[in-house]
Amino acid sequence: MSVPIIDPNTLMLVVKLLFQWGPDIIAGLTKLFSAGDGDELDADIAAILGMKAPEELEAEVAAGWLPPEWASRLQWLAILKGGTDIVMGIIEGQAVLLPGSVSDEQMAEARGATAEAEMAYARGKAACEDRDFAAYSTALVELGMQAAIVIKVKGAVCPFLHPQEEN
Amino acid sequence: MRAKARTVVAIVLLCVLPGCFSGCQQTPLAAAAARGREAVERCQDAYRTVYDDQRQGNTGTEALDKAKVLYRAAMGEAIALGMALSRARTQGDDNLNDAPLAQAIAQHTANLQVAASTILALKGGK
Repeated sequence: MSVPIIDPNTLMLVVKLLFQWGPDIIAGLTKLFSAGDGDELDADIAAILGMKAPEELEAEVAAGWLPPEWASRLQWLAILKGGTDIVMGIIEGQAVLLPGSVSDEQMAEARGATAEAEMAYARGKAACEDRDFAAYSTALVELGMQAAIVIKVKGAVCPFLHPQEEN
Repeated sequence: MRAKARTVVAIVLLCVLPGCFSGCQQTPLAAAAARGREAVERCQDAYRTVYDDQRQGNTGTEALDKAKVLYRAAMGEAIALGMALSRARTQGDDNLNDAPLAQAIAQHTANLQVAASTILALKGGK
């Protein structure tokens, strides 16, 4: 006498329960298994917004042919230059979105500092390639000063990003 | 006992398998973000390639300068794309039902893809 694989009464109960609770269970498990999708989506958006500046990519390539310490110094220059460009982009974006919020003088000051930063970066990069520490240090300080000017202008034209302390 | 054990296994399989397959499906928003990220990475790879080639003396400085200008324009597209995707995410618009937003996302992604090809085409130029 053969033994049934599943007791008919149990089978009926399973079918009944599946019809009753199946959709909810599947929906719950779908959420559980797709819980990582939101994280992945956020990571994709962060990667798009964090697109590397040309200088950062140049430093990455240079890391392949420079000694590690010089590659790190070049990377630092690249981060400063890339950051300066991003802040400049915010100022230009604000000028387009809110006409009149950035004066001609402020725009000229920010653009001038960005151009100076570009030149300081080029000098610093050449110094890294020549392994000239003195020239590198000078270029780094100059780049930092120009970055500070651009940040100062951004602070003046985007006050909502720098909330004032309440007295 | 064995029958009950099999029943439990059957229930678990019936419940878990559809869940697994559903989890593998991407929402239109997630798919758009993945495409955008791929386009950004293609732009970055293209610029790295042109820069490296210029360092090796095969690509001229003028071509590298053009690549840099194009790349900076692509960065602007990436910021616009990222902001549009963030907006859809904030709105919970997983299916990109907001037509103008969906169109903007598609346009920025297409521009990034064109930029990547154009930058790469400068490799070996003067």
